Amino acid sequence: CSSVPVINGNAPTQSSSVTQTAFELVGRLGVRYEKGGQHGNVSWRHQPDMDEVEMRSPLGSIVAKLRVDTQGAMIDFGEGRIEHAPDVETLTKTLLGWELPLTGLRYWVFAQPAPTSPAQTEKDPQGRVTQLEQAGWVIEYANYPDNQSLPGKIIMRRTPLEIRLVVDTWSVQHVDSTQTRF
Amino acid sequence: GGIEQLKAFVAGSDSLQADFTQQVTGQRAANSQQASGHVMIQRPGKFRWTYTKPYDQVIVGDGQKLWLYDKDIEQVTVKKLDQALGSSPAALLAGSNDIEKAYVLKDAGSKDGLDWLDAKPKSSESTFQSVKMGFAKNELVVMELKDNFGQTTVIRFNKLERNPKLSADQFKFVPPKGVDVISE
Repeated sequence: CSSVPVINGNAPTQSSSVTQTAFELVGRLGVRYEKGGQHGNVSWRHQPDMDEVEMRSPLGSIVAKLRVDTQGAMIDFGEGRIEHAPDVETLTKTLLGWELPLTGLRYWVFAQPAPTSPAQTEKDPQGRVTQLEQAGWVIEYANYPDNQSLPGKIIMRRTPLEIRLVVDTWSVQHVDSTQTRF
Repeated sequence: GGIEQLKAFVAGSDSLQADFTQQVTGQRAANSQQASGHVMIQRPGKFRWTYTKPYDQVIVGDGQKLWLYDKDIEQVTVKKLDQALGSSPAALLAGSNDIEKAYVLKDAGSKDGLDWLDAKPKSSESTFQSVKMGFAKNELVVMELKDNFGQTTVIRFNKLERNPKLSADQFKFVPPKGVDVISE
């Protein structure tokens, strides 16, 4: 059986919205797209107004760093090679050949629909989401650890793209906006 | 020096196997990942690089293609072998003279009881800025691979066995049933 994630912190419930959550997720990403396949180890740090995603080879070497904030998206391949785009979806589509739907993924990783468009969900007897459909994506959830509601495996499909994410470790903090001091 | 030991190491082992540990230094992320596993090499061009920790991943070079299988992702990505150097040092070690072809070699003196060589990639496309190799008694002990972000991956080999009898099917990859195979 495939691994279930180590979790410290817990999932934002429907009421405490995802945008009030900071998390770091470390896992693996497998992508199938028109031109072939990509596989990488990934670590993703999310803050309410900023995301940083590091893509690594099996050797742990960083292949690319993605950063998204209110000003737009940027990818850094190292040695000064940096590209920009208005959003991460356009950036990854043009530079990696496949679109990383990070805007939606902020919610989907918690098995919650994004508040941007209608969505359907299917749940298992324990009330955990097994499938979610939104914005043309069909998202399947698996490997929930028995006592936690954060999925360990997420498969997202929107033809011709399929993205598989296995989460090895989660760390989730609730960020109460009054507490964050800059 | 390092280069001399590299040549003796390559010449002296048509095949080899060893355990390895892998540690990434300069890692900001909370858990600087420790990984470990086993490597088998059959020159020229064949290798099996197996990660058993922290999870099951296998990288196989069959002489033409590179297969990367992640058990949890249930996916195999297949690439041309010449793109392999970026994803596995075994590809570097498995070639008879790949190292000289793809890297400029320089002796880098001795340190921590090892003789070192420094290898700079000839092509700018390489994911590594530099590769250092440390030898003792003509055997490779440590590899340090520096990426374009100043991170260094340190790989230590132990229980290295020269010229073991390795069966040919170790270097063929047969995708398990139900696994998604994606080739270029």
